[in-house]
Amino acid sequence: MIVEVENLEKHYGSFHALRGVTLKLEGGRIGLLGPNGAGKTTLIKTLLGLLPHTSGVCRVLDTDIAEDPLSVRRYIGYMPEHDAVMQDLTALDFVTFAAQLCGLPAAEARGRAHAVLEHCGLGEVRYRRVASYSTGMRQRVKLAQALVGDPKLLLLDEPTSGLDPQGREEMLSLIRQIPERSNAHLILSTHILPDVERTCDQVVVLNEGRVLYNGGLEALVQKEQDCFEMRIKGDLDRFCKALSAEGFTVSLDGTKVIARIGAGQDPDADQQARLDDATRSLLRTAMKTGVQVRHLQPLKATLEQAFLDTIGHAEAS
Amino acid sequence: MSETAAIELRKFSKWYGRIIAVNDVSVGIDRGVTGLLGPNGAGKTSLLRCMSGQMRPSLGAVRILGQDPWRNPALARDIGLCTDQGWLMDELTPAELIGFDLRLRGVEEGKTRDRAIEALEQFDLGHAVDRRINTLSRGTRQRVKLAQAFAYDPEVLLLDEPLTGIDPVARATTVKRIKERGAAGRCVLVSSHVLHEVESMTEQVLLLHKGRLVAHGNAMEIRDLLDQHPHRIAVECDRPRDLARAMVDLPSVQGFSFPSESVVELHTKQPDECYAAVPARALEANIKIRRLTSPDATLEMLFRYLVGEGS
Amino acid sequence: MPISDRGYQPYEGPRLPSRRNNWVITSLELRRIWASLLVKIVLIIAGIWAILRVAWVAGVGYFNVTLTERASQDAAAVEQLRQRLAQALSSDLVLAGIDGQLVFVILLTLAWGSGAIATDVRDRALQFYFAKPVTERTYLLGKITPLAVYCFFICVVPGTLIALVEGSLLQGQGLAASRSALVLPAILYSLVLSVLLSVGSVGISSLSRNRLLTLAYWAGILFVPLAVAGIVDLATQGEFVWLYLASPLTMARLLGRAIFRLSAEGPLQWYHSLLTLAAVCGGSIWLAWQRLSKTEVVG
Repeated sequence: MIVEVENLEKHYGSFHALRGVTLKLEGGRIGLLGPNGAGKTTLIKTLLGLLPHTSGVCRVLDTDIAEDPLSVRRYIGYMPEHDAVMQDLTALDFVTFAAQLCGLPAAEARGRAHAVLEHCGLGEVRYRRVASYSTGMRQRVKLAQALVGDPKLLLLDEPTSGLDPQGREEMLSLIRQIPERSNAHLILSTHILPDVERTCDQVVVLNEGRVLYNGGLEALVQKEQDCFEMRIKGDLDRFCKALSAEGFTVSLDGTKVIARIGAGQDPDADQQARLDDATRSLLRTAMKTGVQVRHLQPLKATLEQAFLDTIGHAEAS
Repeated sequence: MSETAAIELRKFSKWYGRIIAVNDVSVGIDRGVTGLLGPNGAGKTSLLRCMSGQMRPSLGAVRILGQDPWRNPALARDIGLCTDQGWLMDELTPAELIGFDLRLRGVEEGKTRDRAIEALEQFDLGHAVDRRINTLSRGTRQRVKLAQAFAYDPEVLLLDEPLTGIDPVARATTVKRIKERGAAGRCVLVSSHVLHEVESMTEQVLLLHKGRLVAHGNAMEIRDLLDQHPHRIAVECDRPRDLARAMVDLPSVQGFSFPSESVVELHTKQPDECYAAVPARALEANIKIRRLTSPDATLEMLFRYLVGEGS
Repeated sequence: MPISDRGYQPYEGPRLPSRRNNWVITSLELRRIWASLLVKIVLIIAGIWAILRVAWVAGVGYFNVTLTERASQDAAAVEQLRQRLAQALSSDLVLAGIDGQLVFVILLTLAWGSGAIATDVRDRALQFYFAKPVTERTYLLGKITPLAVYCFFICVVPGTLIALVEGSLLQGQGLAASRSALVLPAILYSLVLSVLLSVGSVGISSLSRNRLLTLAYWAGILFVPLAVAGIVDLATQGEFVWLYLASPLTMARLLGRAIFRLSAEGPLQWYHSLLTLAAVCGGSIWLAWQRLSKTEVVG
């Protein structure tokens, strides 16, 4: 159990940042989501042992944080959102220093720093001062200092902020590899939901200091039944009219066509057969109206929608 | 709609000392939402600064609504700017800040507060109207910046990474507002790294790389034109190899691969022909298609093809 | 395995206890301080000045010793020369030797100490430190100790050398032991100066992210009370000297005189100085502690 939190409360005077948070995380790749002010930051600080909580139990990596906040930090790697590197050092010196702070002896620290910097994609630049680095390189240094202590728990705070698309790709694939290659677990806190979709398999949703959801990513993102999304090249209007004529309920999301199987279809038929009939009908209509089908699949729900729904339900009740 | 583009760049170049930031770009940006994309250091910030009139081009010309934005207060009114530069006046409240901005643009004294509040409410900031900006969270401040840019409802909006720090709940509203402006005929230029966000706003893109213009137009059209990279069409069906057999005689098909049991991926350099043929041949052979996608069709892949291997 | 695995590997080696982090931070800071060009210049000039001073003392002493040895006839003349010698190689010289280095110590604290924590605040490195097994105490000690070490060396080397030179030159005069014993006060006084000035400057450096501002604060604390007290002293022609209580430098030198068993001049005694020195050290540590505890490590 990497994180065991029970009825955690954190009050700042009359403001309750965390209200009765109970979480049991066995491990894996967990995305931590929530609107601004939901308590994500407070939760992370508490897990790092930086903030004494008002009441409740908080155990990280099987250690009670209230008793011994310091020793846990050897095995937690934290990648901060903002710049956190001393500018006058080289990346190598900095990461070696980080390794030593985690308890590695001097020589091992240097060796491991080299290995981790290599893994993070910092080659010859590691001998230059950090002050001369670009944003992408700085993010890599931050990741390297979090990894160098061989953490069991990696806490990442907006790891792709400021990175261009290529940089984002590389960072996400670096992050994905870590749990695969070591026993580390991942908690990724970010606003960019596609990052979570790509790297995590579990999700914790916080709002107003409470846990709204804690479970698998797949389970949260429900698939719509009987609904297809399409992109076409050709006369959109004509196509949509033809689809409606076939009995589909058609709506448009930008240039994406959402077609829902109409009630007129045979309800008794096997689900797969129904879907197959529907796709056949869609394709036939496309051919008839002379449009190219560029994209056709059952409507894919996004984490964004699931997240908004979760928050919305909570606010409604 | 008018013939001339809302934003025009004619042989535009900008350098700083010896370092060239933007090199000979000529393009016209129409009304509606356009995404300005490019890796870090591609020249996007320089471009935005010159468009907003903060800097002059080293060579060539920038025209906003047909005029030169440099030292042009009348035009500056109609340009809304949202950048990631720091805050100058964060002891003010959002209402005061926006009110001040509106006054500078010539709105009457009495009406500024109302318009400011209206703009703030559009971005769900009704609760923060009279609170000092330095007490607000990062995401809220970002939305205040956007509200400020939108308040006057200018003809041209230049937004640099508008969604940074904004949580997913507020993002939906923000994207909606941006699309509304575009639909209402304003010219909105959004510079961003987060490609899926750009995708949710528009299909028109302008791609810069190392200071040069790489591509401009509808993302799908650009993809079609990129014939160095064969299109991949992934078809999930019940008999993928039969589909391959049915398509193999088509000259436009360059190759097949079978990434999994139920999927066949067609490679083609003539996507139009191929896309047209797939449903026809499948229906003929009574093959049940469950899914038809192109892994290439995202903005991310487009970006990678155009930028990953140099221009 | 024919193709080796070059990807990320977990670490299986030894781990040392967190107590060691004091030393880890100290050794990094020692290197960083030396790496600064300004510091190197100050240290080199301090070294040259120290050597010159010691050489001067040695020279003057040797000259006087030779004179004394050459004069062997007249007992009164010999006595006179002996007294001159004792005067030339007095314990005042050791104290003066250390006081002479004070200017370099001050420069060192201004160049590095007053920016130590400010630089980390500006770089947001505190987030990095406190997410590792580092407490506020470890951090502060790690910042203060290296600076104190450099300051100590600047002071103690000339101090002890002068004491030893005096001792060896006065071998035959029955004063060797008392002069050699000056090594102990020299060490003590150097300790007092280095601890006071390094604790003070590092503590003050936590007040802001702006290095120039913290530099100004520290310079202010050192010189403003001194200047004001000096003006008042002059204006009242030596009558009112109590304002010197607010000047850390004056109080440190007062304590120094007491350490060297030299009489204090004026109404201020060495026990008065303890108050000021405690206030400066205690106050700056308290300020730094406050600042560090409130650091927003996350978000």
